[in-house]
Amino acid sequence: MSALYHLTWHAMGCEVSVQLETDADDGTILSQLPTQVEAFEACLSRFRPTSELVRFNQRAGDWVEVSETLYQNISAARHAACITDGAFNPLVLPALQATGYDRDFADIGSVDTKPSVATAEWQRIELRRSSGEVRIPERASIDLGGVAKGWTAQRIADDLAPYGACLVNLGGDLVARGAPRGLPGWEVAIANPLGNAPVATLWLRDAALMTSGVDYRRWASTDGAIHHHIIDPHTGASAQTDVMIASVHHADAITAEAYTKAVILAGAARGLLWIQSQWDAAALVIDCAGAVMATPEFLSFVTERLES
Amino acid sequence: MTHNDRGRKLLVRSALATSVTIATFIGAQNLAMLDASQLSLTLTPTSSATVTSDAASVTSPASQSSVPPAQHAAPQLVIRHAAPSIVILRQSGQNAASGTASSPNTTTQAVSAQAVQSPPPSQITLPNPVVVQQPIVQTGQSSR
Repeated sequence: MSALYHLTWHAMGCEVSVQLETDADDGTILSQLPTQVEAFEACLSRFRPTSELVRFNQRAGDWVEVSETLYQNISAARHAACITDGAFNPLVLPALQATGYDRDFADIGSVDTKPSVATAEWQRIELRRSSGEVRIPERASIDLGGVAKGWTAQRIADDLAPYGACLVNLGGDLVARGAPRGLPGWEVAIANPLGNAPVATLWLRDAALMTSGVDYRRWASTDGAIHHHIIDPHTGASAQTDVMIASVHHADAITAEAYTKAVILAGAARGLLWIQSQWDAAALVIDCAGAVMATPEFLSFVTERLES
Repeated sequence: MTHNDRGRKLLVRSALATSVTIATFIGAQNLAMLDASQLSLTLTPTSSATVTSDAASVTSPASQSSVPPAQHAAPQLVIRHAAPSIVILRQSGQNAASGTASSPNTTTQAVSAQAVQSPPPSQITLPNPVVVQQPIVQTGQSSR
């Protein structure tokens, strides 16, 4: 007889929640996930001085043999840059640090910003599959950020899928495999940054729903300017956009994550039209004035619209 | 006399014909070589990633250290469907279910993002999964 298991814990700077409906396991497999995610974080975090990513960045300019986990993440980040024509660029880290986000976010007070830093072209991330080596330009640094979360969530979901239907929530990034018995999918909601009730709820099945926004991780510099963590690779500064949050539905978590950044940089109207031209993608946007917009495809997933 | 004149004329004509033939042959050969060189120029790639990469690897450290400017690779997001078919679920100015349209509360965000660092593995208390009766609705929200 199948049972629905639920596990929550803290990792990667956020709450992780995993649900698994299975009759093939007594929930033991879920108990192994925190250790697995800890290993991923130890490899991919830019906030841990001993992480493989930090050590890799310190060797910018050299060919470096990396672990399979780091290789897959850097490869995914490069792919994300490719499919967004550079709107998403994993090499924005020096620019992000110049805006003041050069330390643990909790330690950011009122910071002095440095002159904006040019971001290296994503095409200069070089990979050698046969030897597992990667090279980035000198002085460049990779920030995996949302890619690492999306990759981890998708990895967990793929690992659990043989045991049954599952839903992974990694700090608001959602990946589903299958659906609970008797339901068309996993019911999920999109948070409203301007209120308590969600903007919409939808069925999620064999897909990812990734959300990014400028409502999250904002800080002020000593000159009074407000910064946020989404950097425009072409200006080296926090993106100027009318999008507050963008949620993208796609079969692939990395693609969905990359598309959220592309929509934010393109702006609400242009970004949503662009999403419509992308295969299997659907999106919802809340702009800075509070308007909610979505592509027609997105509405096919929506179960309920919560409006005033 | 007549035979001598004829012989001379024949000799001169033969020499002229021979020289014209040789000149034509040389000219044709030159043209063929020119065509071949132009063809090889056409077939030779003007630049390739491999060549560029190799060239970069032998440049001086000083030139390698410069991070390329970001002015190129501007995000030309091609909009293939120009027809505006965006669905507006809520106009700006309409209140959400709770709360009003205002700037995001930066203080709240800073508090919610406090614990970026996870505890070292030795301090992790492994949680146990619990059985629930029905799926718990999860919420998608901004993260990075």
